[in-house]
Amino acid sequence: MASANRVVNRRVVLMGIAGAAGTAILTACGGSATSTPAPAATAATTSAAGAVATATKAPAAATSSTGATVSSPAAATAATTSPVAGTTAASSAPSGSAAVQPTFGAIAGGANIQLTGAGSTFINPLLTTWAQAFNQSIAKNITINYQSIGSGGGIQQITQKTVDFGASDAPLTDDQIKAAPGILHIPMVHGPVVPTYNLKLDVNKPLQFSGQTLVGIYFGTITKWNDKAIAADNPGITLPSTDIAVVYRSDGSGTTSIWVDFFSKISKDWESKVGRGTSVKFPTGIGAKGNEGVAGQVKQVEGGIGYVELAYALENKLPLSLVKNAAGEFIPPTVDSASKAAALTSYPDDLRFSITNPAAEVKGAYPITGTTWVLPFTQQTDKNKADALVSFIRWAISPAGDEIARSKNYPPIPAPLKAKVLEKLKLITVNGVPVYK
Amino acid sequence: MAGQSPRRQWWAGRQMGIAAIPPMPQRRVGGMNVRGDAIFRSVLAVFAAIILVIIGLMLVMVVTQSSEAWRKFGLGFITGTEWAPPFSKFGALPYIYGTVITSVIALMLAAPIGVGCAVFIIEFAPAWLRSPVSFMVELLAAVPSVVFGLWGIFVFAPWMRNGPDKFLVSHFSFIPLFKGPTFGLGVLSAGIILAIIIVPYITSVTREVMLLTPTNQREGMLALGATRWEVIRYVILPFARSGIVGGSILALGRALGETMAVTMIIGNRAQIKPSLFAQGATMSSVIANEFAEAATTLYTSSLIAIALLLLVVALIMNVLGRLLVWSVARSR
Amino acid sequence: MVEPTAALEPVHLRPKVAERPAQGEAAASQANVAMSVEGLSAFYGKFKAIEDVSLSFDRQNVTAIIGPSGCGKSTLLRCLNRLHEIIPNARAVGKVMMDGQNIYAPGMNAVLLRRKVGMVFQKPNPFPSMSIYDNAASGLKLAGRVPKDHLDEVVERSLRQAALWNEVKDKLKQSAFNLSGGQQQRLCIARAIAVQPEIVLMDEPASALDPISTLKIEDLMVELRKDYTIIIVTHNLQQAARVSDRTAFLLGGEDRIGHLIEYAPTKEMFTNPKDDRTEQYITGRFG
Repeated sequence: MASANRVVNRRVVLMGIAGAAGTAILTACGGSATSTPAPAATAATTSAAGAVATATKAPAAATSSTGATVSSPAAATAATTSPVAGTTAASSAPSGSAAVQPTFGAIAGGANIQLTGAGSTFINPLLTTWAQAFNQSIAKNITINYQSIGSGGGIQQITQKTVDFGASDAPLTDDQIKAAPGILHIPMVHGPVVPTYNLKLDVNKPLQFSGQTLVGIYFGTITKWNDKAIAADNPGITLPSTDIAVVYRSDGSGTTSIWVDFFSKISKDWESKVGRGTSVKFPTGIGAKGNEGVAGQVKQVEGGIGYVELAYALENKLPLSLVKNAAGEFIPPTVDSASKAAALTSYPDDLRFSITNPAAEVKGAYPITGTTWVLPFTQQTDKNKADALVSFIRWAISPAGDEIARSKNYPPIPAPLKAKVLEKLKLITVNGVPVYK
Repeated sequence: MAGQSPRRQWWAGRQMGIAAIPPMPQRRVGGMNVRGDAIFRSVLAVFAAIILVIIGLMLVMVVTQSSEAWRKFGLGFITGTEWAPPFSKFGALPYIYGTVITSVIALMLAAPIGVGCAVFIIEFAPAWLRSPVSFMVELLAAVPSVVFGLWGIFVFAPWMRNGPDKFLVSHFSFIPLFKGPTFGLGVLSAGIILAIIIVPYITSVTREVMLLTPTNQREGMLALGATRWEVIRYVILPFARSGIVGGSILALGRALGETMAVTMIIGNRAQIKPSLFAQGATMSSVIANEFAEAATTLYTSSLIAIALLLLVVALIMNVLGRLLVWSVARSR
Repeated sequence: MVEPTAALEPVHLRPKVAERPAQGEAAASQANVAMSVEGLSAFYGKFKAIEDVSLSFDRQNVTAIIGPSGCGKSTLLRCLNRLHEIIPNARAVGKVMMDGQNIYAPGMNAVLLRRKVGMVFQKPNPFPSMSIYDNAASGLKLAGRVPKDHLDEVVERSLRQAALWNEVKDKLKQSAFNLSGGQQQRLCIARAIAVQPEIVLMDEPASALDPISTLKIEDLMVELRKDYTIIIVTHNLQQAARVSDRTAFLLGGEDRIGHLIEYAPTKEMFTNPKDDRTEQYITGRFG
């Protein structure tokens, strides 16, 4: 019986070690093993000329499944491109209209092309919807496999060239660019971050905050809801003396990055003491995991305040507050007010910009908004893939792409930025030859 | 009989009950059997080697990948209390503290409950209740920890906030351990959730060892006029001591590494506060939280250094436990 | 040492004065009986192990229970201190009278009974987590707090009575597992008699021991009968003949249900058995 005990103990000890170390490591790497199935064997050539929405299906070519790149001459020659810049972002024309619908001709018909991307979790729902719509309505032979592993991971993967494009909620740092020479920053969509709160009020009216008030709350210097600063932002509303319960994102995220970037821009103190980043040391509050964690915690604690992505807040009908911009306006967070924040008067040449707290000239802009960039390399090796990537990006920022973005509560990039993006796409080359002119 | 094979002779001898029959002659020495054994042995050796190689590679990876952090901070990485990625300041102490304190709380709660549960199943539960109760306990071990986490956020934390926490804060806040404010999320709640997660480990191991208690020990104590409690106290618990310690070590290992549920409940603040209601963070939770978005190599390296520390802490705890089991077994 | 019986039982269960045995000869014979069994049957679930056994055990006597394997002699013994009922689904029906009370009457406390009826098992079973001293003192500690010097006295006395004192007096604090099998069994006897029970039950106490240790145990039984009533189960007929005053012979029938075949003074049974089956058994024709 003694030996039986000893055996049990030895087993127990070994399992103990493995249990402790294994779980954390597995969790850190977990969830990235998503993969979309390989494209269907039947390849359909898609006529790209003319009205795209009515794509005609050609009978499946038996030879195309052999894997060799068989380029259809019809598709390659039909590349009559119309400039995307001509279509305005505000255009709400139906997507089927041939007049404003740009064409995306430079797609090698017939051959199956699989693009792989990795990065930002924020853009994942939109990018997957885009990819599906693109595959169904534009190019049946192009599938996009996107792994939502986080912006940091996306930057790593594209730097090591294990994917065709990365996606990040923050631009690369100078050091990161040095490690990935020739990388492009293509802004695709914006991401507003909104304060949500839980407070019983007499009036059915959303609260509004100036940036400084939010900084005060997150610094822990404003601790009661009836603080003078909050009262000054909300004339005519009687505020209770409830304690403020601050909630922040515990997991590293672009949402936090945008939130603290805004704070750093309006408060030197915040910039020097807390700083910018996907994870920072918040001076006060509770860390909750994910948008759902923050929203859940705010919902539970009377007096709670937290920040979530706009899309998440709208889907879950969370109470939102207005935020004061540099022009002195209190702006409700919406898809349009966020797009407006990106309509800057000038952009840096590499498109690594921050649109939080835009200058006072930018009217009607919601000030806590970020950008998600797609990150391809300028020098591509595979002509088909380069074509597919450029076509996809051009389509995504077209009115058809915009409409999908809006339907999912993602603010599309504004018109002036679209022009810049098209210029950038011209830098993508295969063997020195530009893919898109 | 002379013409018979040795095997036949042996068998015939046995049948007749002849004493002092030599052992059965080995069949075909050096033949198929022996070669089969050799192949079997080398296959098993390869399997065993694979495990060692995997552990070795893991260690090498963790050590090399974390070297940047160690070069930059040295031992200050372990004693540092500041974790501020924007300024590339990385100190792991709050996470070590969080891991140890939650595991200790969990073990302090789970050990008596787990052992009590095992005693109930073995000694008190009527026969028809025994297997359902054991089954439920084992089932608890199969519940994914994210489920505990969700339950913790939506049911347990609010209940703690408005019930026990409120009571303790209003009556015992003069003790630093129970100083408010309380949000329901914090070190204590995380410890309790962990305790629920690890109870089945302690119960099953303890129960298995208790089942081995010799009947004659039990009856010997009963025959002396012992009550049920005295039988448990003087016979079953001393006998199961090594099982209790072993189960607790297994549970402790689980508690040290548990990530998801703790991350959801602990409040994720890298701080060292005496209050049990204060938020905290554990080594595994910071890795899970921040690894995906860690932008710089120093950041990543620091997180891997924490993984190494977690491995070391788990190892230390297990060696201590091992010594405990050993001394308990010796003191018999 | 042994408390008055009345104090142990709930007041309402004490026999009324009127029901107590009458004065005179009946009372005298009654006083000489330590325990009497009346119409006892014992079951394991649906299986009946013994049926309708009746016999009485005299004070300061050694009574041997013999019979072939599986005849229910151990079951009968375990019914006498109600240890039979701890086996799941096991139960006993009938009466076992001790000090004028039926130990199976509702409300009777098995724990208190077992303090008056000690038991020694087939295999020595000292408690492994305790020292020799603690083993000998374990029964007393259960009964309540005992002053240390009194404890020392009782431990020494019971170890001396068990003829073990000289062998262990220098290593009382050592683990009982360091003793030989025979010593361990004598320690178990010391443990049983330390609480000064009225009756000591012994279930084949020497069957796991070598011949020399067996002899020592047998000598010990003869010695102990001066102070205690001893009931021993044995399959060793010579042993029964050597140590016992009376012998009971149990035999299982075709249905494997054990019955009491014969109960008589040992000498009488071994020299002049009344029943054919007894004669066949003791002459070694079966069993």
